Amino acid sequence: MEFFLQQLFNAVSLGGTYALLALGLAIVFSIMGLINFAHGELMTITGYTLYFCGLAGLPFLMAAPVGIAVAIGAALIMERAAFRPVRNASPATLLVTSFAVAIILQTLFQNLISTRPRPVVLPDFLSGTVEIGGFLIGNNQLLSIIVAVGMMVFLNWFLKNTPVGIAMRGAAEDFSVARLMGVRADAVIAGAFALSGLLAGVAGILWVSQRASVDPFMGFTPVVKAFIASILGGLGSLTGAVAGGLLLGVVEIFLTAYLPESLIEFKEPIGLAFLVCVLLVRPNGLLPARNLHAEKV
Amino acid sequence: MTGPMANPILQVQGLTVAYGPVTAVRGVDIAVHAGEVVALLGANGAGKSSTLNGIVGLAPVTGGTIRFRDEDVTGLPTERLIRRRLTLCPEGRRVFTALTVEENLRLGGYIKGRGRAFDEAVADMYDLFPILAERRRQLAGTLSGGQQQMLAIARALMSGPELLCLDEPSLGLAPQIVEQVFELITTLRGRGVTILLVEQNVALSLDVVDRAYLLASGEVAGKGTAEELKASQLVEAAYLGLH
Repeated sequence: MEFFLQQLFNAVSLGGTYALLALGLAIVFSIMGLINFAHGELMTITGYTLYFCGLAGLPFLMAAPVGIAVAIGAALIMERAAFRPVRNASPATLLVTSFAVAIILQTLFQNLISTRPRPVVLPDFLSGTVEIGGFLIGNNQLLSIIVAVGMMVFLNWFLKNTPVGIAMRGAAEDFSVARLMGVRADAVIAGAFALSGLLAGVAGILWVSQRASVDPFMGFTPVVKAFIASILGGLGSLTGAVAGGLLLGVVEIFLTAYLPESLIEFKEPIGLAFLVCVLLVRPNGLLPARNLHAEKV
Repeated sequence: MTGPMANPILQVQGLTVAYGPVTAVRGVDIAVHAGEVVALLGANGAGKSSTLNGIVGLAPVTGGTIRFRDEDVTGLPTERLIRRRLTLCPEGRRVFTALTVEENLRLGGYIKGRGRAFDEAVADMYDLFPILAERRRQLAGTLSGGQQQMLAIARALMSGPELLCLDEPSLGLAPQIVEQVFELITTLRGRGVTILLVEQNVALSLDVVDRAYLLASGEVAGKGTAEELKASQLVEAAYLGLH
């Protein structure tokens, strides 16, 4: 029982990070129909910002907001430089553009920084543990969960209470009518990218705080996982992204924990087979977007 | 000149709207004066909605000029026209179904920000449409068709337009709701809102408007005051394609 609870904790911690990434993908997708595979590189950029801040002697707690701010800035530049010129192109063009951005950034990281992982100095309190109800929990995992929940609460507040948030939800449903109300396409799309940058930056910090290093391909695996999570939850649906991320975390952690040793190398295919079964029952995902017609502007 | 003979608030000259090789509107001239309610009538496919969409920048304008309040607004993007107080309540209502009634109104008043002007506009809309006040926390997608139409009009009014383009407000509504919509148009005219109305329902339209243009095959086939048109054969001809 204790082992189970411990694993559940691990699952929620990992799933929460997947959920943050999947939310970032979902926000951009719901506004402009783009699945941004360069989303993971925003995480990597945050990771390298932490690394350079460490070299400069900046403490982690001060480096973290810098890392998030850099991710937001990078997301805005990405939109401006790469995605705005192809905004009205087909979804396939958008998708290929996002892969190109991802690969260009990975190559830049390799050539300008290093192909090898770089260490990120983490504060001592992250490696400590706390005892809750008789079992030990890593501080970094507890932090992941608290931060993920906090971000979701913030996102929910932002989308329901700010004019830009409401405009983004309206634009996700019917972009032409949102424009009739005076909503500028550039403003909502930039807003969506800024939010996705924020989420990727936070996820990047959580990711690095579990691993203490950053490498050029750090963002690739998590963004693929986040993509799976958003398909699982229902593409473009924000609650779906959270549900999909958590489910994916649970599946991964529990397969690692409970599969017999002879099968452990098959944990990824077994996990994906399970997810395919979920999609066979619910082809639109767990909680599909209510009105998804990602319209072009 | 002063009064109703001053420059029209909206002056459309030679408007041509084309979707690729298909020309939907050909050289249409329309003038609307402040305080007037003017209808564009015509059969399905006559180019009425394309004319409105061209005016507000949602359909591709390939020729002609649009002047609004003595300024050339031809080719201005949709989102800038509302800041000049010209807006459209689109065909098929198109309320944001995943937003609450109040959020729809907030988005309608997007250009006003969150100040007092905005709060007053919301209160005013709830006065005009008590049913929306009752349903303010409900998702717009759960409203009936008639309520959604009221919401769509209220949402368009939130920005305080000088000219409201109304595209087929009675489409797909039950007869008694259709009457309410036309009563509302009379109410709005009493409040001094200038309206350019596109309608299928000719008889009811001619009861509430000052003047009307008849469109057929994308061209103006006739025009006149409501009384003139009621008395003439032009309307039937336009609908039967006899122009």
